[in-house]
Amino acid sequence: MTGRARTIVGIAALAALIATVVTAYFWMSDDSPDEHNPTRRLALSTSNWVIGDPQLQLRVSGAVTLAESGCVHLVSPSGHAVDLVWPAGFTASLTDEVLEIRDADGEVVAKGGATITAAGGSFEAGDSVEKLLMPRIVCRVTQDVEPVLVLTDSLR
Amino acid sequence: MRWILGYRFIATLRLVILLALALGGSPALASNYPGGDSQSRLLQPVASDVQGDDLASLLAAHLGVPVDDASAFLEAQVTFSELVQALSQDHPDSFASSRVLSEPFGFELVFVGGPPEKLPDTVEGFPLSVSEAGQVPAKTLESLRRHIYLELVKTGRADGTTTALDLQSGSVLVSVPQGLEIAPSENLADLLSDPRVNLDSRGLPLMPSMVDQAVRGGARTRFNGDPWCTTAFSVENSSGVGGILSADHCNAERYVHPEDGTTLALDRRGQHTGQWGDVEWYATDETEKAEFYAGDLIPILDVTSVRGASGFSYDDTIGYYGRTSGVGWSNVLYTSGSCGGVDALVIMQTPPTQGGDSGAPWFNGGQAAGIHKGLCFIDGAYRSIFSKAARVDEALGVTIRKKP
Repeated sequence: MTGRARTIVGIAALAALIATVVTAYFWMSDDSPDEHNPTRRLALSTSNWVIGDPQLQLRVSGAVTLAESGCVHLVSPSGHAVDLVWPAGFTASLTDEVLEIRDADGEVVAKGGATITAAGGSFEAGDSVEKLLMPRIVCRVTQDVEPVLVLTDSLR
Repeated sequence: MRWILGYRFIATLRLVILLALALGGSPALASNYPGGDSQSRLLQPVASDVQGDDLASLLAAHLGVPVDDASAFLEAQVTFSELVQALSQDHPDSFASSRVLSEPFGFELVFVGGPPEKLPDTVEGFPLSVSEAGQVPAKTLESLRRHIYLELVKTGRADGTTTALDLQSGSVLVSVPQGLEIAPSENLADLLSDPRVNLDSRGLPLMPSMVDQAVRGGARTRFNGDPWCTTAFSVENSSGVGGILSADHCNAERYVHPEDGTTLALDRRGQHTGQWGDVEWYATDETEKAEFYAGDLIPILDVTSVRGASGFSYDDTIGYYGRTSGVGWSNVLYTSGSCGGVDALVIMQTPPTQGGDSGAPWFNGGQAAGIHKGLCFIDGAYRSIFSKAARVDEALGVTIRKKP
């Protein structure tokens, strides 16, 4: 290999190394907690329910819990896991190892381990009301339980 | 603003109302009660009138009248509802509206072109006034409202809209969210341009989709362990198979016996959410009696009749018993309406119900009136709504069991 060729190969290798480091940096800062960004966004199932829409009044209560799978669910007083579909715009994040649920305005409405009581409805796939509420199930803990619980409650 | 519309506000409002009731009832109503001594009644602690948590005691405390008077008036309301149902069926071209009066106690009927037959002056001793001030028959207005609802469903606009039959003003209220295109079809545009339609576009703005032992009514149900609803009334299908009613969005799995907390499997036989309300029914391995729990401190009530679908009047007092909020009551605001794509509903004036009350019985005495659904945002506030009990036949092919 000539000196010129070695220079070209060296520059290419250096460029690849820089690209890898830069990509890794942005990948980590986007999804993983680090000293620059200690908050990690979690997957959360939501619907299009907002304040002003009809409120269904099934009662659900339990502790907001982060499962090993990374999904947020509710553990009821009897120990059952319940998959919840949260209102539109709700998000979940892990900040300094603390699970936080925020509403569409960014306000914290529930924290990991806290017991919440809310109103909603239970639906199975194909239910007409499910279409109205448009649940987007992105994370489930209780795969064996067919219906999902859709919250129709602002929790505020 | 969100707080004002939120659950916490409703809870606070409920607390304020309860405190107001506890402190003094309703002096304005009390002072107009026929034959009563309003001054001395105002000086008496209202709590002394409360003998239980039945509907009559609650109403008596609210109005500041003796429990016996409240009880008599509630019984008269049941009789009045039967009269209203009969008149609306027998004279659909002239019956315009009905109203329950509490200042003083009494009833009012309005016809187009005068009453079609001689009517009594009283209902169980309470005065009945009849007038011919009605401009349009109730049946015509309900037909218009129903047509609008079905057109909203057909054009995919029912989700965010609410319709209500407003017999007091002789109009159909259509409440739509700000920014919603309300006339996507020629038919709907024609219907909404009817002068009898009151279009209210003050609704909240639409949010864009984001990436985002014996079995009886009034008992608790469970789904997947803990979340709960309430049962409404016992039913049976044409083959005589019995069951228990609740709301469709409950998906209940277990019935909880109030007496000892033991549970019983529920076998879902039918469900319906749509043009006939939000209801479902379950068969059980026990006998489903024509009875329901109506309060924590009062005996179980027998179901003796079912309120007709057209038997509701403005200001009707109707009670409920939910397994979260207990026994409560409200007055009818709109006798017929739809909310969130679900029709055959009655819209009440206040939101006393809470999560866990879904499926609960709405009633007056032994008369079954409805199955609790939830809250609907209309006229600037959340209000309790229930599916009409008389529509469970259309919805599920079952009838509510009654005792003779």
